Amino acid sequence: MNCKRIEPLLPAFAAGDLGDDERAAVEAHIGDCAACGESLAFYTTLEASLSARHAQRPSSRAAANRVARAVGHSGREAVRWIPRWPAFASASSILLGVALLLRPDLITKFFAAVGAFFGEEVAARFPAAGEGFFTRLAAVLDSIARAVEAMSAGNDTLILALYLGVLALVLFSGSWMVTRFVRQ
Amino acid sequence: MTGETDARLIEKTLRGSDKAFRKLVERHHSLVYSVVRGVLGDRDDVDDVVQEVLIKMYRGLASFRGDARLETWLYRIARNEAINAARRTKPHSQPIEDTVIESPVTSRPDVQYERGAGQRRLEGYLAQLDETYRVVLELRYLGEKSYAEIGEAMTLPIGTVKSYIYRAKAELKRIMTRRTADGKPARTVE
Repeated sequence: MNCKRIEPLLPAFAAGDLGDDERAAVEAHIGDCAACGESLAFYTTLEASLSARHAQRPSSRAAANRVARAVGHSGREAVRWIPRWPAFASASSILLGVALLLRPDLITKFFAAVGAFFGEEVAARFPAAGEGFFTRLAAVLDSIARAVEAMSAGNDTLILALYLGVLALVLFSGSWMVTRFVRQ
Repeated sequence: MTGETDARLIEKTLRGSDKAFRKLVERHHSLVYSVVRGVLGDRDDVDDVVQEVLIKMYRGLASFRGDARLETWLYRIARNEAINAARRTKPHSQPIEDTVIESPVTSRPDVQYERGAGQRRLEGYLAQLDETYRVVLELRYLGEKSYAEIGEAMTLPIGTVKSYIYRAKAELKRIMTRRTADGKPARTVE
């Protein structure tokens, strides 16, 4: 091959992109041609110089952090689960407190019914697996039902509702502070 | 591609996952950066334009239907944003001096300094190339993309991508070996 056909192959040769036949042809030619040899030296050096350019690229992680902050995405997922459980507990406490104030009889009936369900239905279905466990669970629920019934007879209902309200407030404040801390 | 697919990461991002969004940005930052740099050159506002592109990506994810690859979609956004930025502001002028092309790695500070200067001069020569040539070169070397990845982003066959890169290098050689007014070659190869 002559210089006119070899010269266009030199950038590909320097990049290591040529197939065996073309590579052999270039190697054979540059052994005898100083001009093409010089051209190849240029492309080889250019290849090295271009390959060093990737070092100029800024960090992808830093870019991701910057963009996440810009779109208000920063830390959103990290904190999302944290306030969930205290918020849920707080809401449940408030609901329970309100229900106790308004209809203590319903709470009593609810715990008694759930206790009976676990103590009789579930324990009967899984006699081998958890007779003892379900019986104990039923006993606990039954105790709660009787406690609520006893409290509803006097002013204890108000005290319990107050206690639950304070608990809800503490849980809300705690979750808010944790959220703030994690976001920072 | 290793790890989760783009489609999965997009789905998670749309559900509010910060981690998925960051992964998506980290995965495609090099492509966006290379395209913006290819269009704008070494300007101070490159990082700002890249950030704009990635914010646009975030805002457009909900409407991205996946008909095209994410890379293709991002390439178009990046190119359009960079062209708009180029229209808004003039590029800073880059003096073209004798070229010093980088040689192998060394720890000598004086040689490293020379190489820094060489890279700056190379930047000036790259600026004289056609935009398409600059972008393919930046995707290949700055973004370290394979020919196939470049082809997917630019919707070009691999053969065409290779041809553009070889022609871009030949054009660089032509620019760099142009003789100066006093008849001396403009290029110095170390």
